[in-house]
Amino acid sequence: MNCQENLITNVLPVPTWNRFAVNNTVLKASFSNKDAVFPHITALSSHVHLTSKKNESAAKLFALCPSDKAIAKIDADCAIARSISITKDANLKEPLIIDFSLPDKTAQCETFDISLGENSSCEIIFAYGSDNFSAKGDHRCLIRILAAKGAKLKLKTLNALGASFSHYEAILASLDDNAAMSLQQMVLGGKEALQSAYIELKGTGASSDISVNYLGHSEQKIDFNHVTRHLGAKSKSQTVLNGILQKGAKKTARATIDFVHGCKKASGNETENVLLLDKNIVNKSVPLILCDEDNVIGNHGTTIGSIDNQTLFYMLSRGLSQAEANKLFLDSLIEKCQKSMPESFSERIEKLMGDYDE
Amino acid sequence: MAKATAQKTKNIYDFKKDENNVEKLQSGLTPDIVKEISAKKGEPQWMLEHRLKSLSIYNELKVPNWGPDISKLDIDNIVTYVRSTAKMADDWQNVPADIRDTFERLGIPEAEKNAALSGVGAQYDSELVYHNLQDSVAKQGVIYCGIEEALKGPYAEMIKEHFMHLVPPSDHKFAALHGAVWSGGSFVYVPPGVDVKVPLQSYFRLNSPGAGQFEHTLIIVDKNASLHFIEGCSAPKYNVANLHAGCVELFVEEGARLRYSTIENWSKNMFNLNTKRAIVKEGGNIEWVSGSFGSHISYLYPMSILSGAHAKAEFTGITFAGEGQDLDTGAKIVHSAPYTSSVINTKSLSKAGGRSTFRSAITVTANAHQSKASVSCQSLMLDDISRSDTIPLMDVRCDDVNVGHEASIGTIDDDTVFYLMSRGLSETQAKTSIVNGFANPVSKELPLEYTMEMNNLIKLEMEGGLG
Repeated sequence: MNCQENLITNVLPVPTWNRFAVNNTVLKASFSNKDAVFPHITALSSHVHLTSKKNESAAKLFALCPSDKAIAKIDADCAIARSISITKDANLKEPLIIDFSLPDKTAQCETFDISLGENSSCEIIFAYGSDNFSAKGDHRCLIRILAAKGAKLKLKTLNALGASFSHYEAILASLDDNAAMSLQQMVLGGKEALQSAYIELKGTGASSDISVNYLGHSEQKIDFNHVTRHLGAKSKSQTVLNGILQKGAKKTARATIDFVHGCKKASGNETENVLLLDKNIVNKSVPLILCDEDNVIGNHGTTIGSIDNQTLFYMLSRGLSQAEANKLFLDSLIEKCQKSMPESFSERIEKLMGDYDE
Repeated sequence: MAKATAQKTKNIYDFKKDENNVEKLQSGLTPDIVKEISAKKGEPQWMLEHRLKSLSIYNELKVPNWGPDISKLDIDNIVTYVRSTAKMADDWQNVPADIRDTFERLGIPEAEKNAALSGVGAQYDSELVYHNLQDSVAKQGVIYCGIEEALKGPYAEMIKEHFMHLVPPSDHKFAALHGAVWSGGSFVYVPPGVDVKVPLQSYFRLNSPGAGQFEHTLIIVDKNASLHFIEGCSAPKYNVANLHAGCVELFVEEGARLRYSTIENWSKNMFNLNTKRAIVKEGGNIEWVSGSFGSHISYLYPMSILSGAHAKAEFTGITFAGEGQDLDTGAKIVHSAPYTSSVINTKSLSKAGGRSTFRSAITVTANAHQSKASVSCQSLMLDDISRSDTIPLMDVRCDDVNVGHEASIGTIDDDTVFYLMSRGLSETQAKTSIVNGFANPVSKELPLEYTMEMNNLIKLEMEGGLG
């Protein structure tokens, strides 16, 4: 398998003016899948069934993003396919960690299907790192999730790749009655990070909580597309994006709340905060609320700018320089990511940030 | 106008006049039709060339791949030029009786008579039929006339310098269409330092079934001058599509201030594909106040280009989409100079299957240091068969700026309706009161007469819809 195609991905659910170039982005799908790199998986238990084939039921999730050509391609051509099933009523105490250390010249894609039985709960972490900072590669990952009634999933993904890696991550999820999913995406590395999540709140009372923290630097391209579809009555969603852009980074964030007809008493919130610490950055934000149901509440708020003058004045008055004040905000974001991950990742994140500073 | 608006009924805008003494070109869009329009107007050669070039661009450009579906708009079925054989008058008595009656029913001469307006222009189908400016305003050096008249007079060079420079025909397909077949519209020039205290108004009426209206409004407010310009429009409803592809170009010079208010109430067979744009120089200020109630389909996003330091833009708008309507409205702001600021504040309502979309774009270029932009969009769903979408966009390329956006969608709170009903209001009255309150930030920005008109339009929509 040797794919060299330009694939349309991160498609905005409702298009807008073409001249702003936000309706979609292009993924250079250069994957050969030679010498597949398998992740290290920890904390497997009797409640976790890991198999080396896809979950056929997950194919229906493609309906969440019909115009996305990259997702279908990755699924069709993946080098690694894994299914993880969590048994009914299981409550995993330890996070299941799927840890990739990608070598130079990586060019692979993989599909993970995760199914949670009724009333089960677990935490799953996907961590992507490169085995050295200067390693080059293209990595594409598709994660599909089916959560049965009452299931609870905490999903965390960490992009801690070196400055020459291109990373693509797509998450598709469908949640039944009262199922809940929290997704935390941490984007700290890579020269290109294209990340998306399409979550369908299918059941009554289903809920999702998306939290994205990113640090854009070194002329990096960051491109997000988060879509939450409310189908179930009383479903709830929250999407929060917090990020810092500096050193020529270019970021596009699309976030959509889609209230489908029939999702009575649903509510959805989106928040985005972008801190701009440098000239020559590009920030594009496209927060959509689509509403085909009257009895719902949808809210969105965005703030984009530099450190506000009062805060900056206070910091300078306490003896900090502008650069030190900026670093305080950077450190705060990095620390937040470190605290979200098991302790073993702290050093790795610190080293990565050190490499970027150099 | 106040008296007339207070008496408006659901049919006030929906009355038709027979097409007597009317000259009408064949439907469709060809170079011959474009040449014929130009020849009828006796235009300079450059304008004919501009029209033909625009036609060529129109044929090359595609219809937008975003926004409401306009596949049912067939330009081959649109008559691009219809005019009464009567000449333009500056006295209502010289306007043909049936046309004068139309504007009387809309309350235009009455408003002028009561000195609520500094000047009035009235366009019927493709041509202006009436234009007048109060002597006191004319003495200040203010020019307010038909743009075609200005094209042949002492301001010809000024028109040539500005016409479709802000909205070039290549901007989009319907700007190109406008460039090819434009007809009628107003030209306003306010000299430096002149403050026009009382608004000017242009009213556009499209009477002919299957016709298009393509008026061009060009306003130049010179340094430190100020003006309030009001635009109104309406049409009777027909079973065939009508098209409005007008163009508004506003030039706000250093320190000048322009408020541009529109109450749009086209009939619900209208495709409203209008383009409005302002450029604001240093210290200038543009304020848009916009009420969109009519049309079958609307694409309307007034754009402000803040090209000078400390320039400001404010857009206040309301859109009410009822049965059979798909109204895609909003605003665009470009911050391309330091210390510029903008505020967008919109409200939208959807009822009886109507579809309302708020679409906006804030662009902050690399040299717009210390600029500020704020966008607020609130949508109200009045039933569960309607739809409301918000599609804002922010493109920021400068670090020391402050851009904020907030949006909310919801429905009328049952408890509030219950409370109002317990105080003696019917359910419809209670909901109408709530909607009027929701629209208040927009209506308070309008002159009293237009606030009353807007409140009446809301009331009529709430009670069963306008024709």
